[in-house]
Amino acid sequence: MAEQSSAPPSDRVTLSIDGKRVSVAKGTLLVEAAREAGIEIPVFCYHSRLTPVGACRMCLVEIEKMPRLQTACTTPVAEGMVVSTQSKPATDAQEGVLELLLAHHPLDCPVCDKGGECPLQDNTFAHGHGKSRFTEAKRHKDKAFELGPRILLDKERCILCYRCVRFHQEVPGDEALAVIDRGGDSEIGTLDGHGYDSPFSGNTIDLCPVGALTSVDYRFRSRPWDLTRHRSVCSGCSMGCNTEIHARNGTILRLVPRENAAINDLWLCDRGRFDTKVGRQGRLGTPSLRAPRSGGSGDPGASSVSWSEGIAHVAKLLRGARVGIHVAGDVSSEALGVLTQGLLPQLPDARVSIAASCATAWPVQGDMQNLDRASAFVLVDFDAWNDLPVLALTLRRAIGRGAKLIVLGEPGGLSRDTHHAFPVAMNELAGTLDSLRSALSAASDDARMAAASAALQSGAVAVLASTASASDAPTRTALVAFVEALGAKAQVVLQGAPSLVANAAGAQRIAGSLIGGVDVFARAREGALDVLLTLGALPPTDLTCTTVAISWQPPTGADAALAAHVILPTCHPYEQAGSLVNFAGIVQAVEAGGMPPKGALPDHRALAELANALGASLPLELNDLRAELAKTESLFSPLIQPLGQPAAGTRRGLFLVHS
Amino acid sequence: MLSPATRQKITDEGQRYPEKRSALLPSLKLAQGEVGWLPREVVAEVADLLGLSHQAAIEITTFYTMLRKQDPGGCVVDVCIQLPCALRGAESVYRKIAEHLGADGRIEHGHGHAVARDGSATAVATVECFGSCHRAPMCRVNDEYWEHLDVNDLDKLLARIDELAANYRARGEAAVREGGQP
Amino acid sequence: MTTHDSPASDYQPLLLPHPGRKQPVELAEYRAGGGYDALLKAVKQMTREQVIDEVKSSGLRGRGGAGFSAGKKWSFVPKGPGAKYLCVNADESEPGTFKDREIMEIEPHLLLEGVAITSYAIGATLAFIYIRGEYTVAADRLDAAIEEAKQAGLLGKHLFGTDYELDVLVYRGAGAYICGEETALLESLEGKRPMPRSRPPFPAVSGLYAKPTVINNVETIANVPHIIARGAAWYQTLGSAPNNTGPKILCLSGSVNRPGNYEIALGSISLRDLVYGERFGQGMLRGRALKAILPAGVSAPLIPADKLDARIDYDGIQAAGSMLGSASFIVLNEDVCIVKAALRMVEFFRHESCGKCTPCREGTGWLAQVLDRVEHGKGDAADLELLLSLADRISGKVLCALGDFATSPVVATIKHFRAEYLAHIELGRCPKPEWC
Ligand SMILES: Cc1cc2nc3c(=O)[nH]c(=O)nc-3n(C[C@H](O)[C@H](O)[C@H](O)COP(=O)(O)O)c2cc1C
Ligand code: SF4
Ligand code: FES
Repeated sequence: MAEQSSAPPSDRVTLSIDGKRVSVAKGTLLVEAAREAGIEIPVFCYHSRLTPVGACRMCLVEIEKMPRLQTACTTPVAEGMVVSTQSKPATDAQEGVLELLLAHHPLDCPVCDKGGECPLQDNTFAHGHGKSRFTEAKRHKDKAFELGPRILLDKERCILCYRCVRFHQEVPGDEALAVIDRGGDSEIGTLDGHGYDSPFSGNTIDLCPVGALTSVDYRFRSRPWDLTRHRSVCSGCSMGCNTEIHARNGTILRLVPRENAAINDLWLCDRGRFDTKVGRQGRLGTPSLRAPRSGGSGDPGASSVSWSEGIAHVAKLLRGARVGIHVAGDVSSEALGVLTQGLLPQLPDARVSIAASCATAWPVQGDMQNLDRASAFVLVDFDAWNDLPVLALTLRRAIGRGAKLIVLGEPGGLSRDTHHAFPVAMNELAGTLDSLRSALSAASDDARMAAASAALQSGAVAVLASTASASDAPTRTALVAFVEALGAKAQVVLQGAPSLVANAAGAQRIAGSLIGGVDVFARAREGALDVLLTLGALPPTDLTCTTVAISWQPPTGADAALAAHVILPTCHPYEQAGSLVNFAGIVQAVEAGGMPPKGALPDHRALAELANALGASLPLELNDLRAELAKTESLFSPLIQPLGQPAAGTRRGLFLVHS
Repeated sequence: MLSPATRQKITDEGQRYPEKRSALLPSLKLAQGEVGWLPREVVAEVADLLGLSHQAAIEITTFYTMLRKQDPGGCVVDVCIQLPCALRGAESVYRKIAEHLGADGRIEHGHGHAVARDGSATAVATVECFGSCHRAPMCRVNDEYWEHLDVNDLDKLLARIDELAANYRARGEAAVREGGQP
Repeated sequence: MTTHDSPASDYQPLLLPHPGRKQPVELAEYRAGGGYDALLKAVKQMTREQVIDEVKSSGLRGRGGAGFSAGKKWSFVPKGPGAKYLCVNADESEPGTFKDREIMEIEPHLLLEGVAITSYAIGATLAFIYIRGEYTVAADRLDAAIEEAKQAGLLGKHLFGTDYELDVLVYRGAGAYICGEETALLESLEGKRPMPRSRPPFPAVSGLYAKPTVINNVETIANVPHIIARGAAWYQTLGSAPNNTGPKILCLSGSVNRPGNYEIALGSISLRDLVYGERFGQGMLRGRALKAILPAGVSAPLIPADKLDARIDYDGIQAAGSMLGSASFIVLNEDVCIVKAALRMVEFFRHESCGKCTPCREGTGWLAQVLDRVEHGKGDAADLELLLSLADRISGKVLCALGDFATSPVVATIKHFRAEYLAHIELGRCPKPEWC
């Protein structure tokens, strides 16, 4: 029995599926209504985020009073409908479609990446029947065809559900894939054969219901049942897309999206999915000490010491010295919290600078969820498609529902979707904004301005600018005036210039005053520092002062000899638990997703050990640490696990390394 | 690759319909009219002229039988062998043309495609109904319909095929003499 | 039996009034015979609803295959403002069909007048004639006729001096049978791959560019001027009301002496008349015996020789176990190998399947593979059941009717000529290797 609805009864429809009474919202597709009732109708071409096409015919069901079987994926529910997914005609049809789909499908499940997570395999077990009667010659086609740099296509496995092609037509709208030829010869492809190069191509691997589209990276690397899965957040940009990290024996093998309606829906961009390669090779697990360069012996002569020795050594270096601290942009909020609440109070004279990329002259305000109901967007020199790619998909979704897109500045990757484009140079942005502002309230003789301003007269509007344009004083003034004028007409639901680095908003909130303040590297070069400490990065190699790095990055190549004097090796962001704040202020916990080199600590842990060695008394365990930090920074409060529940990031003993 | 005149025609075509995409098929035909077939670069050029994705254009190009994915050479002879023509001897006509060209006229699965043994200048293919069933058997030589064919009296047709192939070769040789691509 | 005298010899053709003619009827000639008077009457004296009602009560059914009431279809188009379109289906690619070609090549203005009246009735200001790419002569003549009509103020802005305006565009296809399926036609016109759409929504509500759209066959539209000019009551006197009214062009091809287009009043002759009648087929080629007739190209079940008395109208052909469809009669004689004929027809559908839906894309290929094996003597007894079972896996489960069509050659030939299939299997070869 379906759950009681909250919607008024006139918007509800009651029907029967396999004898179950189901009540769902009007307009719901039969396949979704069945899902709500716990009945899984098999599908291939249907996908909840794509327009239904009724192509594969796997979802045929019998509906009373209808002369033919109907596809559940295209049929909206109707009051009193009586549906059977299990009648003889329906099951015959399902079995029939499977037999036809499998006629030419290769029997290479044992070597197929999709094996174990393959809808075709699952549906065949559930709805198929016995052995194939197909004894004719099978079609032979390319097996590991390089569609593009990241994606391979097995043309024999493809069952032509067109999900991949439809994804690119509908979601990013870049039409990156095509159906080539027709009928039984149809294939997925591109105009120039190997030209599949969309920033969103990885999503089609997830969408493909068979093992036809596979990742060049992940190919043959694991079977799904050998993977551990960890809830994470992408640190490729400040969007904060939710991911699941899949690892085997602690080695991260792939990133897949984790559904979050408020942020990334079901999608990831290729940069986030493929660009972060986390290996353990060449990395350190325990602190490494190198004698100061002057007394060195050619080879850095680094020696590996225990963590307690390493911490004690660094504490000694820092105590009473002129210290500079540099913090990278993707460091977790917990590490930043330890820095501000634990370490800095012990080093009152330290000069600290958080990466300038975290800065913004126009902090973002507003609720991200409002983007989905926005009626217009104004982008000022802001190229969502390339900078926050998944945000571009959110915008497109709203545009698909009728929202208007106004773009000032260089046309970015959303130019196909732009309704009103003002392709002006940076120094003309302020003037253009002013004209648009005037057009809001007074008739404009510029028809393009008038048309654009018409879209801004009411409704919910979001205004996003690039950090570069927001830092330009005249543009910033114009932006503020524009948003104010806009507020008199429409509701400004989101505004600001998002910084693009993963935890910029976290840094702004926790340590805003430290962002881009002093140039500690310059200070070091001037000889004004005794020690430079870098968090989340290696120091530049041209410094003469003593350098300490708290970083996951291994010193490599020729620079290895010139790397920091002390390295306290930490986990890669995907190997440590922590949290990030996305550009719109959404705080998200991250689990450790892979095993760091033996011994390496999370950043916040290494910092806390150091702070304690200098006199602080921070708890070391993550949950306790968050509780402590929450006393002064509310950002951490929602992350605290109630007693008795495992804290995020402690699965699979990833902290064994600490002695 | 396309001439300014054809490019202009395509741009005009882009303005003719309520939506630009509708201009794709007519534009591809215009391009084929000039080049003789649709190499991928030409397909891309048409898409660019209309501001549409390359994939949109290749999807269309590869669907329709009249849009040529290969250089047809001097002429293509399409012989209908669907039932109404087959009932009146179309297969013998097909074989006879293939034989004349020195090609293998075997029809497999009801579909045949033979290229003249002397090279690429002529191809003969079996095709589906062209709407000349009452004048069967029939064939099409490039755009010309040849109807009421009699397998014992194909001389005029074969002469026409030879003429088109010879013209094509002559054009190719002239182009080579002028230092261009054949 | 040789030939016999056929009835209804006083019938005056309306759609193809100039049998044997090679050159098109130009505007002056068409006007002199009363052409475009019906359009004048419609736009000046009738409301849109009146036009629709007249066509509805005439009983005119679609001539493109499905036989749906034309007037009823028009009445589904929502009233009120907003773009609407008429798309004339001139894709005519059904094997054995060549009637629309002759209407367009010889009587282009008859079609255009029908287009204008229909557009007026549904409130369309832009009409498309989607014509198969191979019909270049017909398309050129239509373009010329449109130009003539525009010059004369019969099309374009202020048509007949009214404030109604209509533009007509000829859109040339490029070789794909599926474009005759109405939603694939719309996709093709929109510049997309011509793959049929899932319905609902129906085109009358959301069709071309998602706007209300009427799609009618050329011949259907060519009936409209006559209905408006002479009234529904007169129209009903042709044929038998309510189901089978009006003139109908029959395309006759295959093993007869005189293939061609023959226009009749629906129901006025039998299959036998069509094949043997003096005014029609004039008997079988070389006097061979008739084996079967396909009444709707290759898309509907064949009718065996013992049903030649069937009346040629919607009900009569249905009673004989098939469908009138496009009324394309392909006559098979006793020399034909039925397995090879079935293979040829299935090959057609395999070749023309758009590939969108699984049963048709995979099923037509499989059917062809099995038929090919049987034809070449490599079949076994289980293959007949396999063929029927595959046909069942396709029929009724596909997205558009093409898949259903593809099964009828298999099912009907096995039903009526099972022995001939078995002979292939027993002999291990085709018993009629000399055919074709
Ligand atoms: C595969 C397929 C091919 C068709 N081909 C044609 C065609 O060539 N011409 C045509 O008028 N109708 C064709 N039809 C029928 C059309 O879908 C549609 O029913 C018709 O154009 C409606 O016009 P009418 O009501 O005037 O007959 C075809 C249908 C199918 C399923
Ligand atoms: S039945 Fe055939 S032609 Fe029709 S949609 Fe399916 S695959 Fe395409
Ligand atoms: S899931 Fe319904 S037809 Fe594919």
